[in-house]
Amino acid sequence: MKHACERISQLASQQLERKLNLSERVSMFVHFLMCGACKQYNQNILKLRQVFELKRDEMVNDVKLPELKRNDIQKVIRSHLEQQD
Amino acid sequence: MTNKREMNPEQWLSEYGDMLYRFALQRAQDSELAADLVQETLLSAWKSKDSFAGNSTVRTWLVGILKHKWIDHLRKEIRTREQAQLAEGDPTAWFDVDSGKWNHKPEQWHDDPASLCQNKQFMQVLQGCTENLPSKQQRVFAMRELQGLDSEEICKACDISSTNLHVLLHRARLGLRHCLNEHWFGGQK
Repeated sequence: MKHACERISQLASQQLERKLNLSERVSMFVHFLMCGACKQYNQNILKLRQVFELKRDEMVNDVKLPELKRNDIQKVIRSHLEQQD
Repeated sequence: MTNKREMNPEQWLSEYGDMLYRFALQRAQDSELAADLVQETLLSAWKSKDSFAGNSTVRTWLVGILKHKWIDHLRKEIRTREQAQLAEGDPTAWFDVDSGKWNHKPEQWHDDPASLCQNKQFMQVLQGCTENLPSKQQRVFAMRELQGLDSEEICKACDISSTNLHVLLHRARLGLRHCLNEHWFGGQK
């Protein structure tokens, strides 16, 4: 168990990418009981994930396809449709 | 349950244009590119309209096509400036060789995500720290967290295995957390 913290920090990152299996979750939980640093690391990266999620939502909140672009696309579509006829 | 009216690109544009644009903008973070992606999506949807099985909604089908368009775009972009960049950021540096314990112990961050997100200075520090990551880590981390792609999409775009991706993201998070602690959270206690 020499490199426990490294392994646990790896799992902490992977839980953001995939569902951990039971034994992985248990080993994280047990390790956190003994190791405040890893517990904090886990909370830090969860918090970062939340910041990024909020930022992404904020960025496109109420954004609309600009009218000019919409018209351009419409023209292109029409020309394609006409070619088909 | 589709009728002819639903299989019309102009109809799609008016009904789903905004939604597709938001989806594209979140990833591309560039309005020109995002609008181009919407256009490409609608055109190729029209070309392959016969392949629409009708077992998903038109909306889901269009989003699926847009996702592919974006991955294609990323692939091309990566290919044009791909260089072998190995040995980036050895994670063992974060842990003591003998004890396996943290070299710099992570500490509690008190601020809540919502207020951090609103804090311009913090977001600048975060951007700076992200940009300082080794380039491969930075690329996949940006796809994951800034563009919101899922692991599978990133693996396809970068042509890497999920194990490889997890290693890169893990290293990126170690580096980023450390950088933020140094430049932002370290002062507070």
